[in-house]
Amino acid sequence: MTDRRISYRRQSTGFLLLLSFLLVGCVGQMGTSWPSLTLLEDGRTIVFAHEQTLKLVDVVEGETVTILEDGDPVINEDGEPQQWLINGGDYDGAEFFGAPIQIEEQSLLVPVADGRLMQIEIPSARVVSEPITVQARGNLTTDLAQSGNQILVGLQNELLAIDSENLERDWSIETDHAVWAEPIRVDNTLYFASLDHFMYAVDAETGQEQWRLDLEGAATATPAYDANLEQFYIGTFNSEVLAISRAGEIVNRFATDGWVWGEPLLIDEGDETKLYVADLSGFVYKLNPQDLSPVEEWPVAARPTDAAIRMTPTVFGEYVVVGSRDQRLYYIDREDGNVNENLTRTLDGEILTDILHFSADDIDGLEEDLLVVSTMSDREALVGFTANTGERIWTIRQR
Amino acid sequence: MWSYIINPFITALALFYSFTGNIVLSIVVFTAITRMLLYPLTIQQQKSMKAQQELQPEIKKLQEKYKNDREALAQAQMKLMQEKGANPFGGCLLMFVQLPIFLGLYQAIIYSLAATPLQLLDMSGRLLVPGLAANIPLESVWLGMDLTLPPTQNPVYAMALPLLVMGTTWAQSKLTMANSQSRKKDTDDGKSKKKKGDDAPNQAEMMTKQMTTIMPLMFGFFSLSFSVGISIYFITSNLIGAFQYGVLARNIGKDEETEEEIEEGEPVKVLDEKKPTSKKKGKQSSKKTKKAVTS
Repeated sequence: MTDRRISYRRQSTGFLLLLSFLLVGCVGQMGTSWPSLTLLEDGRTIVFAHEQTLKLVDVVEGETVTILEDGDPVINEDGEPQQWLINGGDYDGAEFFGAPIQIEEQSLLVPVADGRLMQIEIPSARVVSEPITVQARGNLTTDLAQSGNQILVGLQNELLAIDSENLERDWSIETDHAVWAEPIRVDNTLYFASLDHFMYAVDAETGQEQWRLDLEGAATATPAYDANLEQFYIGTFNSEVLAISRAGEIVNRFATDGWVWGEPLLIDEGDETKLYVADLSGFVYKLNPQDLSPVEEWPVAARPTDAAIRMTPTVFGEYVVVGSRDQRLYYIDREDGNVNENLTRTLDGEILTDILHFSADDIDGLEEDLLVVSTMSDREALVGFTANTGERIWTIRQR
Repeated sequence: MWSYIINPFITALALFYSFTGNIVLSIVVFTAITRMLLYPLTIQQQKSMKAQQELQPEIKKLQEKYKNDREALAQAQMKLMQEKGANPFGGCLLMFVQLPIFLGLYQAIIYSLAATPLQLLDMSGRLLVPGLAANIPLESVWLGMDLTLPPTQNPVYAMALPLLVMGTTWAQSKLTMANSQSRKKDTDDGKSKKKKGDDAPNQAEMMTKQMTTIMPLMFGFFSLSFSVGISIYFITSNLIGAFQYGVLARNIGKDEETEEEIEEGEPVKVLDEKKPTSKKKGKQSSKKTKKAVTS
């Protein structure tokens, strides 16, 4: 009898444990965001921010930067140079999702997922002041942006402007949902989109709303501005790319196959300008900015596909390069739209972060043009490829 | 594979949201429909538990007979259950069918509320009905609470939700328990006289008893850790479940009364004596009498 009771107890406890494991397993599968990359003013150092890791990487050397104290490398207990790495666990479990910005010459302002902003001295990797809290609840996942003497932070239900001198609140404008993309400033007006389906135009100095426009779908990216036509381009979850005038009217529309997450990219091609944009159905589009008529539509993989493209395409030389959720890096020929299978690379994790392209002409010590790709995998947090041949030069782990 | 469960759930949630414009209402409607669809399984579970309880006297006899031979006992029990058409796992069936549905629903709510960029990204391609993307992301604030966050990160009154989850989980488990206990009592009183040592509970009953204690605590803990939206689901599901068990208890009780009446041959008299003032019951009794006579 006692044995049976114990057996029942074991069975019910087993069932509950199974339920707990499954629930916890489900939670574990859901991450928060993807890595963000910020290029510092020296043009060759990037800040990698993901989960609880913040690190500085020199893209020419393909190595994590060494911490300096009074100009000299800091040596750790093993006699090795101390690498520039911040573990969020040492700072109240800080997680880093949005891209930091460089403020002043030697300082980083880093958004922390729990709503704080941390100021970190670049050479020494030291937190230089008490973090300020800009959001009491919810995840802070947006990239920071700088506009004049203001730092702009997209929050859960507002866009906040902070004075870059004293980091005090300047103004804010309320939205009905989160602001995940940084604004773009044109003259004295800031333009930004929110998940509440609206695009806003506000006075950069005062935050006074000038207009808001219903985009009929959520928008997660910064609008791209075309100075020639004086209009913006933005993609939405209503599977559209919209051309919007500075006065806040929709001028043209282009229907995409899937949701558009990344920012459209304007590229000068000889006498003409073209607009490149990708969608979560795995298409890359080349459009005429004047009327958003399609020039090319390129699926990167056969349908059905997991090749959702979240990022803004990278365009250089003969190629359009995109990374996708199927962990592949696709090189598309700009002439015929074919995917170059010889250059296409499969990496260890989903590729969601915008790719950085470095030109050898601009950076001392860089022998060939370089692509820096970031994946969701810890093993391949950052990978450097030669841009034109797709040869892997270096790989950096997250930890 | 998992997408085949989650995607219809996400689509349904988004669809209800497009009608109601309120995520909490959508979760409530969605949960109610899910529980209604699972109702046949709930009935099956209750019937299976009942069948097992009715076999208890015979199982106990077998336990006496084969008390020194566990293998023979197991075979004899299995044979008995096969003969009587009872499924030893019938009581657990609902739990195991509910598990993937519950997990799917849980993930659907998380994806639909999309608190983080990755969750929102995961939403893409999951909506099976065109045009629903215009509602994405669903509004996640309700009564000042952010449904994507756990109660601990919401205003203090959100802490009432884990308590409600615990209370309703306990109430639902208690109702299930009460149903099985009352039927067991009926079985013991009416069919076999209780002997010393005959109070050994069956497997399903023991598990239910354990659940009554552990489940409220566990789900209370889950509610503290997971988003408020999940608490809304727990509470709604528990309330509907409790209502279903209540209805089921009444219906099964009536069925048993009818069966007893048929066996005793005095259906009208017994029912009329028990409930003389209820005209409705009287009508039901007449119908049952007719059924009893014809059968």
